[in-house]
Order: sequence, then C-alpha cells, then structure tokens
Amino acid sequence: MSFDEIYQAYVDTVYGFLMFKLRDEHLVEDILQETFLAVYQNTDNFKKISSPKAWILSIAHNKMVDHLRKGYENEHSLVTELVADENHDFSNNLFLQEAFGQLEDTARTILYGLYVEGLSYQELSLILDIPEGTVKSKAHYARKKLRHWLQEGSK
Amino acid sequence: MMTGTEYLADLALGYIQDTLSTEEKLIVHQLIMESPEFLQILKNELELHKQMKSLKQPIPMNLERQVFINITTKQEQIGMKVLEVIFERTLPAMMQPVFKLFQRSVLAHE
Repeated sequence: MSFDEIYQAYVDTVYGFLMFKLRDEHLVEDILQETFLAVYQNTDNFKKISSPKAWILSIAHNKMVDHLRKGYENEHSLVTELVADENHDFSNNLFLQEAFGQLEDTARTILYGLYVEGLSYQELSLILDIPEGTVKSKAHYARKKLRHWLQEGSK
Repeated sequence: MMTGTEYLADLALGYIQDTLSTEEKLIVHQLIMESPEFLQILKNELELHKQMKSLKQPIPMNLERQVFINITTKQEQIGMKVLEVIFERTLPAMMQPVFKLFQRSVLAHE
C-alpha cells in the first residue's frame, strides 16, 4: 500500500478522532500532520501491521498526549463544546448528553472507538495503552449508564 | 467478569457492526426470536450507534489536501537537502581526476 492510499483510507478516521477529543481545529491540524508524517516514515513497515487503523490511531493518540503535556491543554471540556454547538445532533438528546458528560474522558474515547470506528476492545487497549480488561469494564460501565439514560429519555 | 447483559450488549453491537462470526449470528437470530430482553438491548444499541455516529466530523477537503501536500513536499525537500550534502561532500573528490585530465588535455595542450 502506498502512502497515498494509506492517507486516503485513514485521514478521515484520524481527523474525526482528534476532533472528538480536542475540538480545536488548529491543534488537530498540527497533530494530524505529525501523525501522517510518522506514518509516511514507516510506510515500508505498513504491511506487517495487523491492525492499521489501531496503529495509526495509537500514533495520533500519543502525539495528542505529547501536545497536551507540552501545555496545549484545551480548557473546554467536550460537554461544554457539545452544549455550545447547536448544530450537533447529539446535543438534541438531553438525556444522552447529560449521561455522556458524566463519563470520564477515557470512557468517552472508548465509546467513540466502539460505536463510531467499530474498534475491538483489543484495538482500543492498544490505542489507549491500557489493559484490555480495563477497556472492557470501562466500556460496560459507560454503556450501562448510557442505556439507562436512553431509556429515561424515551419515557 | 462479564454479566449476561454485557454479553448481550456486545453481541448486539457486533451484529449491528457486522463483526460477528457465523455461530454468533445464529445465536443473535435465535435471541431475536426468543428474548424480549435482547430485543430491547438491540434497540438501545441501535439508538446509541446512531447517536454516536453523529459525533464524527468529516475532514474538510481543503485540509485533507493541504496536510497531504505539506507532508509529501516536506519529505521531498528533506530528500533534496540530503542529496545536496552528499553531492557537496563527494562530487569534488570524484571530479578531481576528471578535472586533472581536463587541465592536462585542454589547458596544457597535452
């Protein structure tokens, strides 16, 4: 697979993931570029990687953590942004939105990976660098909470 | 330890995302016919799946193009810089014998 093909296949996934996490277009652009630069430099090893999507997202996640550590931390939480963003479909569901806001950041990322990107627990464990059992338990707790609020919302 | 509901939720999500094995799909079909609890879980998972999908933002086309150009151009420039250094260091030494021949044949009329 050439870099061009890899880029076309995964750029939307990485952008969506970073925007979900950061909601800062400039920062996302920087990290997106750094991520694909690292991919470009490893294009020759690409065919040896068992889960390309998880590998690229783990690079993006690490780059993002590096940026945040350097002091770029975005002060706005995801919930604040979601509430403020009136065009966001998700904000129309107040029950779900509230439940989502009560979840910790890692749990929100896990849910995004599970539902939006269709990642497995194993892939999420690789991306977030936490044990698979932790991913599972966080996912189950978060989904239970969301299901509960979803049912409340439909009453 | 995974509870029954968690197992069913994983099955339901796997079914929606089409990641289940043939055996697991058969279990889901069975559950759909027999278990109202599973049907409710499947319905909830479908709703969550729909809501969560709406969180994804597609990349703007101009940004997609710009990042690609930045990466590939930057790497080409790095490549050129490396070649420049190599040529600067090695060409004079390589060209020395040729230059000497040229000096002798043209300038000294040998």
